[in-house]
Amino acid sequence: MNITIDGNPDAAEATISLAEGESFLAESGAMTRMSPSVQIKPRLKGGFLSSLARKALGGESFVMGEFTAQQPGEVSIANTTPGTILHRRLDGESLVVTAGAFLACSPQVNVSTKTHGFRQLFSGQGAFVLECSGRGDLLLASFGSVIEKKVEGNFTVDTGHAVAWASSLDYKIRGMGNLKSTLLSGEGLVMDFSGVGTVWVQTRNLAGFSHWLVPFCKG
Amino acid sequence: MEITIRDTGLFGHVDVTLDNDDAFTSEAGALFKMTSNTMLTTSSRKKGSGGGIFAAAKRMLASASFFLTEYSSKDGEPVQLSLAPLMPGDCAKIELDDSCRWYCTGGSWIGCGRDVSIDTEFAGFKKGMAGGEGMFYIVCSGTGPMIVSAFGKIQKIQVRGEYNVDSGHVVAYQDTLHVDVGNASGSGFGGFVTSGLVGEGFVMKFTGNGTVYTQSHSPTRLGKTVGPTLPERS
Repeated sequence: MNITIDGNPDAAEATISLAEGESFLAESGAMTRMSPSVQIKPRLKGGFLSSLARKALGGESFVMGEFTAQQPGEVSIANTTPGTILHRRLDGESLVVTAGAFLACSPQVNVSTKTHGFRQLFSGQGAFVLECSGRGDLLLASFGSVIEKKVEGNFTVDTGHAVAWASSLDYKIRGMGNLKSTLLSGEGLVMDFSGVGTVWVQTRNLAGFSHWLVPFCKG
Repeated sequence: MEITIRDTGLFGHVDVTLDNDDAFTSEAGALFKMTSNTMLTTSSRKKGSGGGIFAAAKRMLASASFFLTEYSSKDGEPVQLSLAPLMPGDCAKIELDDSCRWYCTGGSWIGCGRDVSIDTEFAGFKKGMAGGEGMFYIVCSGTGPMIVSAFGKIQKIQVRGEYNVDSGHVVAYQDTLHVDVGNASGSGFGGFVTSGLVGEGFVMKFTGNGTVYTQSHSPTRLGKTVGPTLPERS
Protein backbone atom coordinates (compact mmCIF):
# COMPACT_ATOMS: atom_id res chain seq x y z
CA MET A 1 0.00 0.00 0.00
CA ASN A 2 1.33 3.38 -1.00
CA ILE A 3 -0.28 6.64 0.09
CA THR A 4 0.26 10.00 -1.56
CA ILE A 5 -1.39 13.22 -0.44
CA ASP A 6 -1.91 16.05 -2.86
CA GLY A 7 -3.25 19.51 -2.08
CA ASN A 8 -2.15 20.06 1.53
CA PRO A 9 -2.67 22.25 3.46
CA ASP A 10 -5.95 23.58 2.09
CA ALA A 11 -7.57 21.12 -0.33
CA ALA A 12 -6.09 17.72 0.32
CA GLU A 13 -6.92 14.54 -1.51
CA ALA A 14 -5.21 11.25 -0.63
CA THR A 15 -4.59 8.53 -3.19
CA ILE A 16 -4.07 5.00 -1.95
CA SER A 17 -2.44 2.51 -4.32
CA LEU A 18 -3.48 -1.02 -3.49
CA ALA A 19 -1.77 -4.23 -4.55
CA GLU A 20 -3.93 -7.15 -5.58
CA GLY A 21 -6.02 -8.35 -2.64
CA GLU A 22 -5.04 -5.39 -0.43
CA SER A 23 -7.74 -3.37 1.24
CA PHE A 24 -8.28 -0.34 3.43
CA LEU A 25 -11.16 1.32 5.25
CA ALA A 26 -12.49 4.82 4.62
CA GLU A 27 -15.14 7.04 6.12
CA SER A 28 -18.56 6.82 4.51
CA GLY A 29 -18.76 8.94 1.36
CA ALA A 30 -15.06 9.86 1.34
CA MET A 31 -14.19 8.27 -2.01
CA THR A 32 -13.73 10.77 -4.84
CA ARG A 33 -12.53 8.49 -7.66
CA MET A 34 -11.19 4.97 -8.12
CA SER A 35 -10.02 2.29 -10.51
CA PRO A 36 -12.70 -0.13 -11.70
CA SER A 37 -10.82 -3.07 -10.12
CA VAL A 38 -11.65 -1.82 -6.63
CA GLN A 39 -14.69 -3.22 -4.82
CA ILE A 40 -16.53 -1.66 -1.89
CA LYS A 41 -18.14 -3.43 1.05
CA PRO A 42 -19.70 -1.94 4.19
CA ARG A 43 -17.84 -2.43 7.47
CA LEU A 44 -18.84 -1.42 10.98
CA LYS A 45 -16.76 1.27 12.61
CA GLY A 46 -15.62 0.18 16.05
CA GLY A 47 -18.10 -2.65 16.81
CA PHE A 48 -21.84 -3.04 16.32
CA LEU A 49 -23.17 -1.64 19.61
CA SER A 50 -20.83 1.31 19.69
CA SER A 51 -21.57 2.05 16.04
CA LEU A 52 -25.27 2.03 16.88
CA ALA A 53 -24.75 4.27 19.91
CA ARG A 54 -22.74 6.77 17.93
CA LYS A 55 -25.32 6.79 15.17
CA ALA A 56 -28.17 7.34 17.65
CA LEU A 57 -26.46 9.86 19.92
CA GLY A 58 -24.00 11.59 17.70
CA GLY A 59 -25.61 11.27 14.28
CA GLU A 60 -22.31 9.98 12.96
CA SER A 61 -21.82 7.46 10.22
CA PHE A 62 -22.58 3.90 11.17
CA VAL A 63 -20.44 2.14 8.61
CA MET A 64 -17.21 2.63 6.77
CA GLY A 65 -16.42 1.51 3.26
CA GLU A 66 -13.96 -1.34 2.86
CA PHE A 67 -12.13 -0.90 -0.45
CA THR A 68 -10.47 -4.03 -1.83
CA ALA A 69 -8.44 -4.24 -5.03
CA GLN A 70 -9.25 -7.31 -7.12
CA GLN A 71 -6.32 -6.26 -9.29
CA PRO A 72 -3.80 -3.51 -8.51
CA GLY A 73 -5.67 -0.22 -8.37
CA GLU A 74 -6.07 3.20 -6.80
CA VAL A 75 -8.65 4.88 -4.64
CA SER A 76 -8.70 8.60 -3.87
CA ILE A 77 -10.44 10.06 -0.85
CA ALA A 78 -11.08 13.53 0.56
CA ASN A 79 -12.75 15.13 3.53
CA THR A 80 -16.07 17.00 3.38
CA THR A 81 -14.51 20.30 4.42
CA PRO A 82 -11.48 21.95 2.80
CA GLY A 83 -8.33 21.26 4.76
CA THR A 84 -5.33 19.07 5.43
CA ILE A 85 -4.99 15.31 5.36
CA LEU A 86 -2.58 13.97 7.95
CA HIS A 87 -0.87 10.63 7.43
CA ARG A 88 0.28 8.77 10.55
CA ARG A 89 2.03 5.44 10.41
CA LEU A 90 1.05 3.73 13.66
CA ASP A 91 3.75 1.52 15.05
CA GLY A 92 2.16 0.19 18.20
CA GLU A 93 1.20 3.67 19.41
CA SER A 94 -2.38 4.59 20.15
CA LEU A 95 -4.17 7.78 19.12
CA VAL A 96 -7.51 9.25 20.11
CA VAL A 97 -9.28 10.79 17.11
CA THR A 98 -12.28 13.12 17.22
CA ALA A 99 -15.36 11.94 15.37
CA GLY A 100 -15.13 14.18 12.34
CA ALA A 101 -11.39 13.77 11.88
CA PHE A 102 -11.24 10.07 11.06
CA LEU A 103 -10.80 9.60 7.31
CA ALA A 104 -9.27 6.20 6.57
CA CYS A 105 -7.02 3.43 7.88
CA SER A 106 -5.48 0.16 6.84
CA PRO A 107 -7.28 -2.95 8.15
CA GLN A 108 -4.47 -3.67 10.64
CA VAL A 109 -5.46 -0.59 12.65
CA ASN A 110 -7.86 -1.31 15.51
CA VAL A 111 -10.65 1.23 15.76
CA SER A 112 -12.75 1.34 18.92
CA THR A 113 -15.29 3.84 20.25
CA LYS A 114 -14.86 5.73 23.49
CA THR A 115 -17.12 8.21 25.20
CA HIS A 116 -15.70 11.64 25.43
CA GLY A 117 -17.45 13.06 28.47
CA PHE A 118 -20.87 14.46 29.33
CA ARG A 119 -20.05 18.09 28.69
CA GLN A 120 -18.91 17.27 25.21
CA LEU A 121 -22.53 16.37 24.36
CA PHE A 122 -23.31 20.09 24.31
CA SER A 123 -20.31 21.13 22.32
CA GLY A 124 -21.59 20.18 18.91
CA GLN A 125 -18.48 18.07 18.32
CA GLY A 126 -20.05 14.72 19.15
CA ALA A 127 -19.93 12.79 22.38
CA PHE A 128 -17.65 10.05 21.11
CA VAL A 129 -14.09 9.70 20.01
CA LEU A 130 -12.32 6.87 18.21
CA GLU A 131 -9.26 5.16 19.58
CA CYS A 132 -6.94 3.94 16.84
CA SER A 133 -4.12 1.56 17.68
CA GLY A 134 -2.04 -1.24 16.20
CA ARG A 135 0.37 -1.16 13.29
CA GLY A 136 -0.75 0.43 10.05
CA ASP A 137 -1.60 3.60 8.19
CA LEU A 138 -4.04 6.12 9.56
CA LEU A 139 -5.36 9.13 7.64
CA LEU A 140 -6.92 12.03 9.52
CA ALA A 141 -8.70 15.01 8.01
CA SER A 142 -9.02 18.54 9.32
CA PHE A 143 -10.90 21.74 8.60
CA GLY A 144 -8.10 24.20 7.89
CA SER A 145 -4.48 23.25 8.34
CA VAL A 146 -3.04 21.13 11.14
CA ILE A 147 -0.58 22.13 13.83
CA GLU A 148 1.37 19.42 15.60
CA LYS A 149 2.11 20.21 19.23
CA LYS A 150 4.34 18.10 21.45
CA VAL A 151 2.97 18.44 24.95
CA GLU A 152 5.14 18.10 28.04
CA GLY A 153 3.22 19.25 31.04
CA ASN A 154 0.00 21.11 30.36
CA PHE A 155 -1.62 22.41 27.20
CA THR A 156 -5.12 23.68 26.39
CA VAL A 157 -7.03 23.29 23.12
CA ASP A 158 -10.53 24.42 22.11
CA THR A 159 -12.67 21.26 21.67
CA GLY A 160 -13.70 22.38 18.19
CA HIS A 161 -10.06 22.52 17.13
CA ALA A 162 -8.85 19.19 18.52
CA VAL A 163 -8.15 16.64 15.78
CA ALA A 164 -6.29 13.86 17.59
CA TRP A 165 -3.96 13.23 20.50
CA ALA A 166 -1.76 10.48 21.88
CA SER A 167 -3.64 8.12 24.22
CA SER A 168 -0.81 8.64 26.70
CA LEU A 169 -2.16 12.14 27.42
CA ASP A 170 -4.76 12.77 30.10
CA TYR A 171 -7.36 15.39 29.42
CA LYS A 172 -10.28 17.11 31.07
CA ILE A 173 -13.01 19.06 29.33
CA ARG A 174 -14.13 22.28 30.92
CA GLY A 175 -15.92 25.44 29.98
CA MET A 176 -13.84 28.48 29.23
CA GLY A 177 -16.45 30.65 30.94
CA ASN A 178 -19.04 29.58 33.47
CA LEU A 179 -21.48 26.67 33.05
CA LYS A 180 -24.29 28.90 31.79
CA SER A 181 -22.30 30.38 28.93
CA THR A 182 -21.05 26.93 28.03
CA LEU A 183 -24.52 25.41 27.84
CA LEU A 184 -26.12 28.34 26.04
CA SER A 185 -23.53 29.06 23.43
CA GLY A 186 -22.34 25.52 22.75
CA GLU A 187 -18.93 27.07 22.43
CA GLY A 188 -16.15 27.85 24.77
CA LEU A 189 -15.33 24.29 25.75
CA VAL A 190 -11.67 23.54 26.08
CA MET A 191 -9.59 20.45 26.68
CA ASP A 192 -6.84 20.62 29.28
CA PHE A 193 -4.18 18.11 28.32
CA SER A 194 -1.55 16.92 30.74
CA GLY A 195 1.33 14.48 30.45
CA VAL A 196 3.66 13.74 27.56
CA GLY A 197 2.52 13.18 23.99
CA THR A 198 1.47 14.86 20.76
CA VAL A 199 -1.72 16.80 20.06
CA TRP A 200 -2.86 17.72 16.53
CA VAL A 201 -4.89 20.92 16.29
CA GLN A 202 -6.83 22.25 13.30
CA THR A 203 -6.83 25.96 12.46
CA ARG A 204 -10.58 26.18 11.71
CA ASN A 205 -13.62 24.92 13.56
CA LEU A 206 -16.86 23.90 11.94
CA ALA A 207 -19.21 25.28 14.60
CA GLY A 208 -17.44 28.64 14.51
CA PHE A 209 -17.51 28.72 10.72
CA SER A 210 -21.25 28.03 10.72
CA HIS A 211 -21.86 30.82 13.24
CA TRP A 212 -20.00 33.18 10.97
CA LEU A 213 -21.88 31.99 7.89
CA VAL A 214 -25.43 32.23 9.26
CA PRO A 215 -25.98 36.00 8.88
CA PHE A 216 -25.03 35.73 5.21
CA CYS A 217 -27.48 32.89 4.49
CA LYS A 218 -30.52 35.08 3.93
CA GLY A 219 -33.51 34.19 1.84
CA MET B 1 -3.05 35.70 -25.91
CA GLU B 2 -1.36 34.61 -22.73
CA ILE B 3 -3.11 32.80 -19.89
CA THR B 4 -1.46 32.15 -16.55
CA ILE B 5 -2.99 30.17 -13.73
CA ARG B 6 -2.10 31.87 -10.43
CA ASP B 7 -2.02 30.20 -7.00
CA THR B 8 -2.86 26.56 -6.70
CA GLY B 9 -4.92 25.31 -3.81
CA LEU B 10 -8.08 26.93 -2.58
CA PHE B 11 -7.58 30.35 -4.07
CA GLY B 12 -6.65 29.90 -7.70
CA HIS B 13 -7.31 32.62 -10.21
CA VAL B 14 -6.37 33.39 -13.79
CA ASP B 15 -4.44 36.21 -15.46
CA VAL B 16 -5.27 36.85 -19.10
CA THR B 17 -3.21 39.09 -21.38
CA LEU B 18 -4.86 40.03 -24.66
CA ASP B 19 -3.07 41.47 -27.66
CA ASN B 20 -4.82 44.14 -29.71
CA ASP B 21 -6.93 41.80 -31.87
CA ASP B 22 -7.60 39.11 -29.25
CA ALA B 23 -10.83 38.56 -27.37
CA PHE B 24 -11.76 36.42 -24.42
CA THR B 25 -15.20 35.56 -23.08
CA SER B 26 -16.08 34.68 -19.51
CA GLU B 27 -19.05 34.26 -17.27
CA ALA B 28 -20.49 37.58 -16.17
CA GLY B 29 -19.10 38.27 -12.71
CA ALA B 30 -15.80 36.39 -13.02
CA LEU B 31 -13.73 39.52 -13.63
CA PHE B 32 -12.11 41.07 -10.57
CA LYS B 33 -9.42 43.37 -11.97
CA MET B 34 -8.38 44.75 -15.34
CA THR B 35 -6.29 47.43 -17.02
CA SER B 36 -8.26 50.55 -17.86
CA ASN B 37 -8.07 50.02 -21.63
CA THR B 38 -10.19 46.85 -21.37
CA MET B 39 -13.41 46.93 -23.34
CA LEU B 40 -16.27 44.94 -21.88
CA THR B 41 -19.18 43.79 -23.98
CA THR B 42 -21.87 41.96 -22.08
CA SER B 43 -24.40 39.97 -24.00
CA SER B 44 -26.62 36.94 -23.62
CA ARG B 45 -24.71 35.23 -26.40
CA LYS B 46 -21.12 34.76 -27.45
CA LYS B 47 -20.01 36.45 -30.64
CA GLY B 48 -19.86 33.97 -33.45
CA SER B 49 -21.90 31.41 -31.54
CA GLY B 50 -25.51 30.75 -32.28
CA GLY B 51 -28.44 31.05 -29.92
CA GLY B 52 -29.95 33.99 -28.13
CA ILE B 53 -32.17 34.26 -25.09
CA PHE B 54 -33.04 30.58 -25.25
CA ALA B 55 -29.38 29.50 -25.26
CA ALA B 56 -28.68 31.89 -22.38
CA ALA B 57 -31.56 30.43 -20.36
CA LYS B 58 -30.28 26.93 -21.02
CA ARG B 59 -26.86 28.04 -19.84
CA MET B 60 -28.37 29.08 -16.53
CA LEU B 61 -29.72 25.55 -16.16
CA ALA B 62 -26.11 24.39 -16.39
CA SER B 63 -25.23 26.65 -13.41
CA ALA B 64 -23.45 29.11 -15.69
CA SER B 65 -24.46 32.72 -16.06
CA PHE B 66 -27.17 34.09 -18.34
CA PHE B 67 -24.86 36.86 -19.50
CA LEU B 68 -21.40 36.46 -20.96
CA THR B 69 -18.80 39.19 -21.01
CA GLU B 70 -16.35 39.60 -23.86
CA TYR B 71 -13.06 41.37 -23.18
CA SER B 72 -11.01 43.10 -25.83
CA SER B 73 -8.78 46.13 -26.22
CA LYS B 74 -10.21 49.64 -26.49
CA ASP B 75 -7.12 51.28 -27.89
CA GLY B 76 -5.10 48.55 -29.61
CA GLU B 77 -2.70 48.27 -26.66
CA PRO B 78 -2.42 44.93 -24.80
CA VAL B 79 -5.00 44.34 -22.08
CA GLN B 80 -4.46 42.55 -18.77
CA LEU B 81 -7.31 41.18 -16.74
CA SER B 82 -7.85 38.65 -13.98
CA LEU B 83 -10.70 36.23 -13.47
CA ALA B 84 -11.71 34.44 -10.27
CA PRO B 85 -14.17 31.60 -9.80
CA LEU B 86 -16.92 31.78 -7.19
CA MET B 87 -15.87 28.68 -5.30
CA PRO B 88 -12.61 28.14 -3.46
CA GLY B 89 -10.34 25.88 -5.49
CA ASP B 90 -7.98 25.35 -8.38
CA CYS B 91 -8.32 26.69 -11.91
CA ALA B 92 -7.07 24.83 -14.97
CA LYS B 93 -6.45 25.79 -18.56
CA ILE B 94 -7.53 23.34 -21.23
CA GLU B 95 -6.36 23.85 -24.81
CA LEU B 96 -8.98 22.89 -27.39
CA ASP B 97 -7.82 21.70 -30.80
CA ASP B 98 -11.00 20.85 -32.68
CA SER B 99 -10.37 17.10 -32.32
CA CYS B 100 -13.05 16.67 -29.68
CA ARG B 101 -15.62 18.50 -27.60
CA TRP B 102 -15.34 19.14 -23.86
CA TYR B 103 -18.15 18.70 -21.37
CA CYS B 104 -18.02 20.98 -18.32
CA THR B 105 -20.21 20.14 -15.35
CA GLY B 106 -22.28 22.53 -13.23
CA GLY B 107 -20.53 25.81 -12.63
CA SER B 108 -17.03 24.68 -13.63
CA TRP B 109 -16.78 26.65 -16.89
CA ILE B 110 -15.16 30.08 -16.36
CA GLY B 111 -14.21 31.34 -19.81
CA CYS B 112 -12.75 30.66 -23.22
CA GLY B 113 -11.03 32.26 -26.19
CA ARG B 114 -12.67 33.79 -29.22
CA ASP B 115 -12.58 30.64 -31.35
CA VAL B 116 -14.15 28.37 -28.76
CA SER B 117 -17.91 28.05 -28.96
CA ILE B 118 -20.19 27.35 -26.01
CA ASP B 119 -23.30 25.31 -26.04
CA THR B 120 -25.53 23.70 -23.43
CA GLU B 121 -26.59 20.09 -23.53
CA PHE B 122 -29.12 18.08 -21.55
CA ALA B 123 -27.22 15.46 -19.55
CA GLY B 124 -29.88 12.85 -20.09
CA PHE B 125 -32.34 11.74 -17.48
CA LYS B 126 -30.21 9.09 -15.77
CA LYS B 127 -26.95 11.02 -15.74
CA GLY B 128 -28.74 14.22 -14.76
CA MET B 129 -30.57 12.71 -11.81
CA ALA B 130 -27.88 10.41 -10.46
CA GLY B 131 -24.63 11.90 -11.75
CA GLY B 132 -24.61 14.68 -9.17
CA GLU B 133 -23.43 17.21 -11.76
CA GLY B 134 -26.73 18.86 -12.66
CA MET B 135 -29.18 18.28 -15.49
CA PHE B 136 -27.30 20.36 -18.08
CA TYR B 137 -23.65 20.50 -19.07
CA ILE B 138 -21.74 23.27 -20.85
CA VAL B 139 -20.19 21.91 -24.04
CA CYS B 140 -17.21 23.64 -25.63
CA SER B 141 -15.71 23.02 -29.05
CA GLY B 142 -13.42 24.77 -31.48
CA THR B 143 -9.81 25.84 -31.00
CA GLY B 144 -8.16 27.86 -28.28
CA PRO B 145 -7.97 28.01 -24.51
CA MET B 146 -10.76 27.28 -22.06
CA ILE B 147 -10.63 27.80 -18.30
CA VAL B 148 -12.40 25.65 -15.75
CA SER B 149 -12.51 25.90 -11.97
CA ALA B 150 -13.08 23.33 -9.26
CA PHE B 151 -13.99 23.07 -5.62
CA GLY B 152 -10.66 22.05 -4.08
CA LYS B 153 -7.77 20.44 -5.91
CA ILE B 154 -8.01 19.68 -9.63
CA GLN B 155 -6.58 16.43 -10.93
CA LYS B 156 -6.06 15.65 -14.61
CA ILE B 157 -6.62 11.99 -15.31
CA GLN B 158 -5.81 10.14 -18.52
CA VAL B 159 -8.39 7.39 -18.81
CA ARG B 160 -7.34 4.33 -20.77
CA GLY B 161 -9.97 1.66 -20.48
CA GLU B 162 -12.13 2.36 -17.49
CA TYR B 163 -12.26 4.77 -14.56
CA ASN B 164 -14.84 5.72 -11.90
CA VAL B 165 -15.34 9.20 -10.48
CA ASP B 166 -17.70 9.79 -7.57
CA SER B 167 -20.76 11.85 -8.45
CA GLY B 168 -20.13 15.52 -7.74
CA HIS B 169 -16.38 15.28 -8.41
CA VAL B 170 -16.33 15.59 -12.22
CA VAL B 171 -15.12 18.97 -13.53
CA ALA B 172 -14.75 18.40 -17.29
CA TYR B 173 -14.16 15.58 -19.76
CA GLN B 174 -13.54 14.93 -23.44
CA ASP B 175 -16.37 13.54 -25.52
CA THR B 176 -14.05 10.78 -26.77
CA LEU B 177 -14.98 9.09 -23.49
CA HIS B 178 -18.18 7.19 -23.02
CA VAL B 179 -19.92 8.09 -19.77
CA ASP B 180 -22.45 6.10 -17.83
CA VAL B 181 -23.84 6.30 -14.32
CA GLY B 182 -23.51 3.30 -12.06
CA ASN B 183 -23.13 2.19 -8.49
CA ALA B 184 -19.76 2.53 -6.83
CA SER B 185 -19.95 -1.01 -5.54
CA GLY B 186 -21.15 -3.02 -8.50
CA SER B 187 -24.30 -3.47 -10.47
CA GLY B 188 -27.68 -4.81 -9.42
CA PHE B 189 -29.66 -4.44 -6.23
CA GLY B 190 -26.78 -5.63 -4.00
CA GLY B 191 -24.53 -2.93 -5.37
CA PHE B 192 -27.22 -0.32 -4.87
CA VAL B 193 -27.73 -1.29 -1.20
CA THR B 194 -23.99 -1.42 -0.51
CA SER B 195 -23.44 1.96 -2.14
CA GLY B 196 -26.15 3.47 0.03
CA LEU B 197 -24.71 1.93 3.18
CA VAL B 198 -21.17 3.14 2.64
CA GLY B 199 -22.41 6.51 1.45
CA GLU B 200 -20.82 6.28 -1.98
CA GLY B 201 -24.03 6.44 -4.00
CA PHE B 202 -23.50 6.79 -7.70
CA VAL B 203 -20.32 7.11 -9.73
CA MET B 204 -19.67 8.37 -13.23
CA LYS B 205 -18.18 5.47 -15.13
CA PHE B 206 -15.83 6.56 -17.92
CA THR B 207 -14.78 4.14 -20.63
CA GLY B 208 -12.51 4.62 -23.63
CA ASN B 209 -9.52 6.90 -24.07
CA GLY B 210 -9.54 10.52 -23.02
CA THR B 211 -8.97 13.08 -20.31
CA VAL B 212 -11.09 13.79 -17.25
CA TYR B 213 -10.55 16.62 -14.78
CA THR B 214 -11.78 15.88 -11.25
CA GLN B 215 -12.09 17.95 -8.10
CA SER B 216 -11.05 16.82 -4.62
CA HIS B 217 -14.09 18.25 -2.86
CA SER B 218 -17.81 18.19 -3.44
CA PRO B 219 -20.12 21.14 -2.72
CA THR B 220 -22.89 18.67 -1.90
CA ARG B 221 -20.83 16.93 0.75
CA LEU B 222 -19.73 20.24 2.27
CA GLY B 223 -23.37 21.32 2.34
CA LYS B 224 -24.35 18.12 4.13
CA THR B 225 -21.65 18.75 6.73
CA VAL B 226 -22.27 22.45 7.28
CA GLY B 227 -26.07 22.40 6.80
CA PRO B 228 -27.00 20.61 10.05
CA THR B 229 -24.87 23.08 12.03
CA LEU B 230 -26.91 26.04 10.74
CA PRO B 231 -30.15 27.12 12.43
CA GLU B 232 -33.48 26.71 10.64
CA ARG B 233 -34.32 29.48 8.20
CA SER B 234 -37.16 31.68 9.30
